[in-house]
Amino acid sequence: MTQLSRNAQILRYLIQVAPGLGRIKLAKFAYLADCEAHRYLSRPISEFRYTYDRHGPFDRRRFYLAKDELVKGEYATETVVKAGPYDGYEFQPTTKPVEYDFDQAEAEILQYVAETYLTHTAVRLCDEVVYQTPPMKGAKVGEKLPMEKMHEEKGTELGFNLERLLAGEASAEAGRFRPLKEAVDELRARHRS
Amino acid sequence: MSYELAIAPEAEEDLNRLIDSLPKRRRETALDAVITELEKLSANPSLAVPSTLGRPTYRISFVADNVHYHWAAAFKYAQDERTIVITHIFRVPL
Repeated sequence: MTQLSRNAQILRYLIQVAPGLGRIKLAKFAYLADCEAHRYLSRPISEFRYTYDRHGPFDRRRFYLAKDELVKGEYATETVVKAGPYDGYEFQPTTKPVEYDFDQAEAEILQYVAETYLTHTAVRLCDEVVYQTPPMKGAKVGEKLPMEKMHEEKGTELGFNLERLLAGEASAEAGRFRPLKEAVDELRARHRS
Repeated sequence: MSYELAIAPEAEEDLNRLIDSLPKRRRETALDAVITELEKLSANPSLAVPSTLGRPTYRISFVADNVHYHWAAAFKYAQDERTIVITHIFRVPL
């Protein structure tokens, strides 16, 4: 099986969760997933390097490279759809299998972004979500976006930790838990001694 | 309908670290508050709000020694559908 580039995998995963995405939403979903990844994992998921493009955060060159990789490799189809006087583009996943190398936290973030913003129109997505993200605030057209601004939203050491949450959820699913009162009584005894 | 309350080992560790971070004289109050607040959740899970990545999260606020603390618990329903399992407890930034 051919291994897709990291960026192509991301686009394909998003298309798989949200089939029928257009180019604008696809690019913005990738950006939002990177914002969330910076916030919770302190690193991006993709290798896109975002600048403030005419239409918001975008890495034009790498986006089209990844998009072409998917379409030429027959991992996705791109169809022209008429949107009034304009041509739009819609992506659908094909049945060709893809080997993803995301870890669980990355996959959770991608899925969350695609599911959460699926029903937003491109305009609403940009105005209400994308342009309100910290890297876009105060940025100017043509500038590289300071994605590290998302790190400021990360909690302290005792704050939310996505990887710990996922581990706790895996335990819950596997039946590894005990009554809360029992655990708290044990803690109480430990802290008294 | 009230749910049973349970905790995953990872969340137990979270709770232990949070309690450890408090001065000794506030720890008992904090543990009481965790139980009291989570019992409210077990009686009415709709008090939780979808938070980080859509997970239901319940805020635990309490006062110890005139200091306000704000923690939160993420949870999941166990397969028996009668138990709420706390999966992560964390400090909430103000």
